Amino acid sequence: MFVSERIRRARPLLGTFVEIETDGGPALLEQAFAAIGRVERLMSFHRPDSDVARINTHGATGPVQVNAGTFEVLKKARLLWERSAGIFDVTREGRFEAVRLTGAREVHLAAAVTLDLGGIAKGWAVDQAITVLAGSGAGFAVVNAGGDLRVWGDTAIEVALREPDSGRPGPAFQLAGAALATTARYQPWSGRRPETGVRSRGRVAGRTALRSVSVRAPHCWQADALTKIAWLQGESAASLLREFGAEALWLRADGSTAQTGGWA
Amino acid sequence: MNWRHAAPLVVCAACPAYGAQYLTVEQAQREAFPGATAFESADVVLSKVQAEEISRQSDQKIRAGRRYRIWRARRGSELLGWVVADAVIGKHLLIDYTVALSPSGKVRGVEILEYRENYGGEIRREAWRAQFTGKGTASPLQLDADIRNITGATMSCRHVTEGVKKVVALIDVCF
Repeated sequence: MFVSERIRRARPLLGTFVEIETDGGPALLEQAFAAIGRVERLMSFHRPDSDVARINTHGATGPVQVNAGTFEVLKKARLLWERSAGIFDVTREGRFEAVRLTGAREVHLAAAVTLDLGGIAKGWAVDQAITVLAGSGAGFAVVNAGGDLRVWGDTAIEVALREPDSGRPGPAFQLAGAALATTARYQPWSGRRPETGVRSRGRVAGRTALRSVSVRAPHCWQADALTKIAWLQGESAASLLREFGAEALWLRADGSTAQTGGWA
Repeated sequence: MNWRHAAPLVVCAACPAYGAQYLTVEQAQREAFPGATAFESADVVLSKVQAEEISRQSDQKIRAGRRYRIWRARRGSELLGWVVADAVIGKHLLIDYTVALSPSGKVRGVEILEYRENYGGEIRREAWRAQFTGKGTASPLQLDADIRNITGATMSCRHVTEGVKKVVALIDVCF
């Protein structure tokens, strides 16, 4: 098999840095970044012409037609909302029941709610880039959008978990043919709070004792969303994780760990 | 799938910088303008008037006296566009990047060249290297290159985005 040179590039996208590495060549790399750019244009909360902004501005007065990709993400958000009994909710008000998805890719808001796809769109963008790279005959690809990442191909990669307090790369694990996302508690070194994208329905016992949770799943949209649920629910998220073919690794403040998936 | 827990990479209290290099400036120039026959230096040191106008256009505070690294990309005598190399500092994070612009000053692309994270403290080479017996005799910087994939990072690219706005204004005002 012809082995090509790997190229690795990073660009500012989705509000963070998106890194793509592949042996598929520069033209393919460009197409993969373009796929990320498309998700940003459609689902950015801030861009006034994105589908999300149009729904938030006009969705309560009538149906808003959106791009197929946006509609797909909304359907996945609804699935997660249903399966997590409302814990995962992409409306800021915690009222996803007001979001109506009708035929012909239309979105209608039955009440004045604000959609924010930040808890799932980044992961989905990673999946779109991987689809471009995987469909071309590339042997290897890694797409990493600010810590939400997915690896494709025969090679395993080593991923380091950033320590929440210091920001340094910490413990590492292997990843092959899967996606990974992590939620950690307040990281003063970066000056930013962790994204949640979930409405907490009240304090969950043991949550404040968590330093981070990482979720491995087949697709990055799953890892992205499930990591927020696993952060809030702790180990009681185990059955939901299994439903999506995902596993989680919780690091607690005292240095101990918990895992799902059948390993000690 | 196995969560095989690899050896912890961070044990010592003082750790060297971690970073990634993607491109040199020269590579970024060539990738932005593959048809260019020359990259002509066109560095600018901002006058007070220029700095004020750029500040106004980009809605940021830009100081006079700062030198900016700028190149005209040419194919023969034809101007293909511009490349500007700049750097921004985030908390603990130094980012070198380039912006490629069309002849009329529109952004064609942004590439991150390199970023370096510094945590302060002394670099204790021996203690750091001792963790990596079997990984070869690479220096700490090369060893850090082994950490290619990080999760749990929620770094905002806002400074780079603002830098790009500044670069657009820079080309508009100075050329």
